[in-house]
Amino acid sequence: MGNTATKFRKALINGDEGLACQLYEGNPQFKESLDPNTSYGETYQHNTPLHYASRHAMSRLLRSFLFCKDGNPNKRNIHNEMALHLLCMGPQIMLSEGALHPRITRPFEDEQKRADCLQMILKWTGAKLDQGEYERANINATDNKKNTCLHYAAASGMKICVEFLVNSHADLFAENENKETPCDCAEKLHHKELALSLEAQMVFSMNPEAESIEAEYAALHHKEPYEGLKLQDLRRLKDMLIVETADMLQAPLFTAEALLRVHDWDREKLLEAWMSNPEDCCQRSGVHMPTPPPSGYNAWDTLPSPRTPRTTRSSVTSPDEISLSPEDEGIPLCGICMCAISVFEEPIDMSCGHEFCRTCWEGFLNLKIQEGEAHNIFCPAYDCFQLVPVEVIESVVSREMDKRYLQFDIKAFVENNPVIRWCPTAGCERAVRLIQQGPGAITSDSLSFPILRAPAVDCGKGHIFCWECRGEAHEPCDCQTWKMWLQKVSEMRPEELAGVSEAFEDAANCLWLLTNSKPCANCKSPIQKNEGCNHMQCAKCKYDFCWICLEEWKKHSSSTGGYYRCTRYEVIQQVEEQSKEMTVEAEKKHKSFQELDRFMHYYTRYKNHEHSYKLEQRLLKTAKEKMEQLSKAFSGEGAAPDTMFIEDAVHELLKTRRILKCSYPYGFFLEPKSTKKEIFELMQTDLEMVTEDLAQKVNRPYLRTPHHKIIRAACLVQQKRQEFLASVARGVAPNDSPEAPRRSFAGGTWDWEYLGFASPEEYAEFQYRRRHRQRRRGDMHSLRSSTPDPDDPSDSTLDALEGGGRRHGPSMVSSASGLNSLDEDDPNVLLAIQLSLQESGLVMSGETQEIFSNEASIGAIGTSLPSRLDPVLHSVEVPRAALSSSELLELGESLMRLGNITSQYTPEPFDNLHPFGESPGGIFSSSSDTDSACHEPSTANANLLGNIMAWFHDINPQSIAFIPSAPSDPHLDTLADPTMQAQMQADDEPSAQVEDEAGRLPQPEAEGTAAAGDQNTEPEGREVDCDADLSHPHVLECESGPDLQPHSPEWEDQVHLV
Amino acid sequence: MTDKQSHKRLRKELSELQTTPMKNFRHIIVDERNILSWQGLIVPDNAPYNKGAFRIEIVFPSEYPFKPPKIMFKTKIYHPNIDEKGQVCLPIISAENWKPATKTDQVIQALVTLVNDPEPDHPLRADLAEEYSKERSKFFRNAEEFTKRHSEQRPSDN
Repeated sequence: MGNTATKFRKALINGDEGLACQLYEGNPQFKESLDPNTSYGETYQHNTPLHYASRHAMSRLLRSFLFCKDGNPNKRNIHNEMALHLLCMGPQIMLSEGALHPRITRPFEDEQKRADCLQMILKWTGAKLDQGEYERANINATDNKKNTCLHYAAASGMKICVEFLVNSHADLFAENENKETPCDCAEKLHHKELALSLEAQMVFSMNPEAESIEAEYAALHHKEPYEGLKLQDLRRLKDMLIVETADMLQAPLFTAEALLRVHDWDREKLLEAWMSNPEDCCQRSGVHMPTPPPSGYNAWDTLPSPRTPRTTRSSVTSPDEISLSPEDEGIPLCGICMCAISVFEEPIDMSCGHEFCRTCWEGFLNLKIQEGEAHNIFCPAYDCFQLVPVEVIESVVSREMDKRYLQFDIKAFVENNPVIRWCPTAGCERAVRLIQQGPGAITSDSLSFPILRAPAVDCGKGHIFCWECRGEAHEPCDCQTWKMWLQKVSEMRPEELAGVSEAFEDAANCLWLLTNSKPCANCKSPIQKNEGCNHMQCAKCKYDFCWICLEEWKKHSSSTGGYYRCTRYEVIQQVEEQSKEMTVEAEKKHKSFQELDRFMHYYTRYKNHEHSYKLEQRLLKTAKEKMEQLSKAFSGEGAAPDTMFIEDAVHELLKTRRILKCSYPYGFFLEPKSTKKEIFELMQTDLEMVTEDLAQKVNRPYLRTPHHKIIRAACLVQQKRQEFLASVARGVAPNDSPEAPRRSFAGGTWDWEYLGFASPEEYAEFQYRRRHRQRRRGDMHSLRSSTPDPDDPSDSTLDALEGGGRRHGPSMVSSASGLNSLDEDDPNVLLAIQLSLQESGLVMSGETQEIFSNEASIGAIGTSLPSRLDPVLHSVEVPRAALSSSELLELGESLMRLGNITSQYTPEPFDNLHPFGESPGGIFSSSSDTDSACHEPSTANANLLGNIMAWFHDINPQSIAFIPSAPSDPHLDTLADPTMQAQMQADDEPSAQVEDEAGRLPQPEAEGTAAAGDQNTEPEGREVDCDADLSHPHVLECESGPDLQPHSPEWEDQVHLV
Repeated sequence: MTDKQSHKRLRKELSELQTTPMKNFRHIIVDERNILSWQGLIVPDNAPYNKGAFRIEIVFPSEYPFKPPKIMFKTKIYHPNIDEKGQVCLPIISAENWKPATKTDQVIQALVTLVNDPEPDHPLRADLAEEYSKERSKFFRNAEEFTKRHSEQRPSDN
């Protein structure tokens, strides 16, 4: 018995299926007693018989184990591997340390066998679970290396197995410890076809979310403020315009066309003129006033309409015919060649009744068309200003001439039409129509964005140009700024300034040295004196000298009689004069370098985007090809999935890249240190981030992002881009005129409102990256105070809140229900709540206050925050009723945290109430900012309000829309906030104030942290950060701020002290 | 074709003018070899030009009647709308306004009207236009003097 068991185990380990089966089947007693789930112990890495059977794909044994002996494939060995893992490892791969040597059989047979086994395991059901379902093999279980069975199957190139697994919904996106997906594994081991197929399935994987995103995408798409038009489109557009106008004016098409032409194809303009004087309108347009048709009879169907019947010809008198009728009366004469018109000729009818022979008509029209005068050919009769209808032209001239006529006609249409312009690219026959922003004309959201003065437009063939100057597209810059930039570039010749930053550093260091050190009188080494007497010794050359006059120290002895004479005015004067000259020189140099450096900062970023653009342009082709390949691999012979999305994504990427590129020149010319600039840079950063995210998804040789994610990323970029442009079109910041911010609030539709994110992950990622970026950026330090803490994982909460807070009224419901999921004291969330509550901030409800009065801690702290929370609950009664007690508890908890945070305002030392060791700086400043924001309702402070709000959009865009022009909240007065008081004193200088405030804020934070003795290193790091920034307020705006600080080590080395 | 057409039409117009002569356009001379160039005498009715006659030349383009003729004064005339070189600004024969069905007699008629009643608002000679508008009597004296000195003999058979 024991012998059988040992033999059987050996057979299993060696993969000798024949022997194993023989032993198993041949010994009923052994068969009976064998438990396939029992581990063979540590020596065998806790593998079970089932593991070995799977490892070697012993289908017979496996079947018996699984279906007769209650074998459980979810059992794990020491590597946490399950039967599925081992099965899918295939015969070739050696993974775990030699314990499972597979016997390599013929590969194909082996694979087939493994596929059979796999199916068996997949079919297996175990015990009944709670939900009434049966236990099944866990297909996505990972082993210690975080590999799933699909990873192994893909790595061993077993196509059939992979297919089975994928069909059983194995996770295609699972990553192992090396961050490799199954697809990566296949790729790595050169299973090209398999990798391609997996990649295709990843890209085209579907889930319910994907569908909604696609739908959204379809709706979002093509919302550009312009439209590229082909020749046919132009013709259609023209016809449509004419037909609609004819309809509206109850006039014949021909009349409508003439009228439109004279009014620049602007229907509104025409209507206005028509309303005031239709007769004059027609006269100017060369047409008869249309007489209303008999009712119930559409007389305008045929053209030209008020036609003179042929029979009444003789009654029509034109001056020429009177004077020229010497011959046979009754036979009409052609007014041009003065010959009788042949009766066999098809007559050409003009509404004015003038007649000419066909030959003359043709000669006349040909000449006119050749002259390019397509759009107003009048009747050739003397003193007759009847327009020749298109129908007449078409019936007379040759086909070729007619084509030419139509070309000219469209050309005239485009050239007279202020909203349509030709694509300037040589040989391109397309045109672009800029969609106008008539009030009420367009209701779609994205089109109600203001449009820049010089927007970039695309004719539809990828020819992107500036609408205004028809040169290279340069939005968001206007043409003037762009020109200035190009001029600047040509002046600076940056390509020659490759080493400018070094040179700049040198200059900066030089300045510092001159102001803080003196050169050794002997060896010229710079020397800094920081203590001691004036007797200095150069550490380098050991030269002894006097710090004051730089003369040899020897001369300073009493023996020379001039001991300390150098402290006298004349001597000092002389020395200082010298050094002053040098300082001035260095300062000058420094200044010019500073300017140069500033330029280089913008220029390099500008160039970077340009470079990326060029690289990404190739994607248009490669990504499309790749996607088609994938699409084919995915569908086999069937209908291939649509691959347009990748092209769209690349187009979007390129479009945005271009804007980013040109946003640097724009930023360059913005007034330094202005709020406008800060806001602009924030938005620029925003846009850059989503753009890079999209680039990352699209720009790789091997796509592994599901297409709905690509689509979403593209949508997000598009949205951001439009917001960015809209904001620039509005002049970026509402701080230029005191009226601006007010208006924006009242309208409730400024761009921050659109800054929502597509998904929580997106937002989380975005925030994460932004934080990291801001850390690096010296000029952003003032924003740090409002930057959320990197540790907070509650982005999803925020997102939910954002989603809910988007609209007033009913949507507040979801906003309120979002509150109950507050599980973090995320400053963002708090802010969001606070801000969104301002709307109804005056509504007080005793009922809701009751709820909060139960929260003793809040009451004790006595801040205004909790009481300001209640209006939202009050205003939304329905959801409140729906709140369960546990939800209320949670809400209470989050409110408590709110209270804790605000308790920092109180002078008592910072205690450990702070639950998550969160850096308080963010909260502190944001709260106080908010307070001040709503505290000062006067118009004088509208500026400030705008500035602050602008910052906040960054944190929670939706909430901005809710800021009312609310009067001050009495609760706020209780806040003893120094910054706020300072603010009140300085209403007249809003932007400076804000900066000042922002600069000051981190200080209390640092103190607070220190006082609390908080062990968390995170705030410590921040403190240092802030201090560094604070000590150099003059470099606030300059990205290269840190470079300015001339503390480079090599200099310090040279500074010696005696 | 157009060439022929122009000749045909001009011949017709000429014969018409000869059968029904115009009161103010006399002594039409057409070179048999070049029907595209006509000469004749303008005989104005109104002072200060009614004391003389003015020779003009009409040149028709080969594309006539699709393109307008040109008119030049061969006789010097003191007139705000006719310059020293004899060029005249006549809207009816400007390229933009030209209508193929316009007959030469209509053109002449318009010219005579212009000569009889100068249009100081669209002058070719601003100095004369100013004089005409501000010092009408002086203008008349000068024009009359000028006409006497330069113009041709009016046809006697009037």
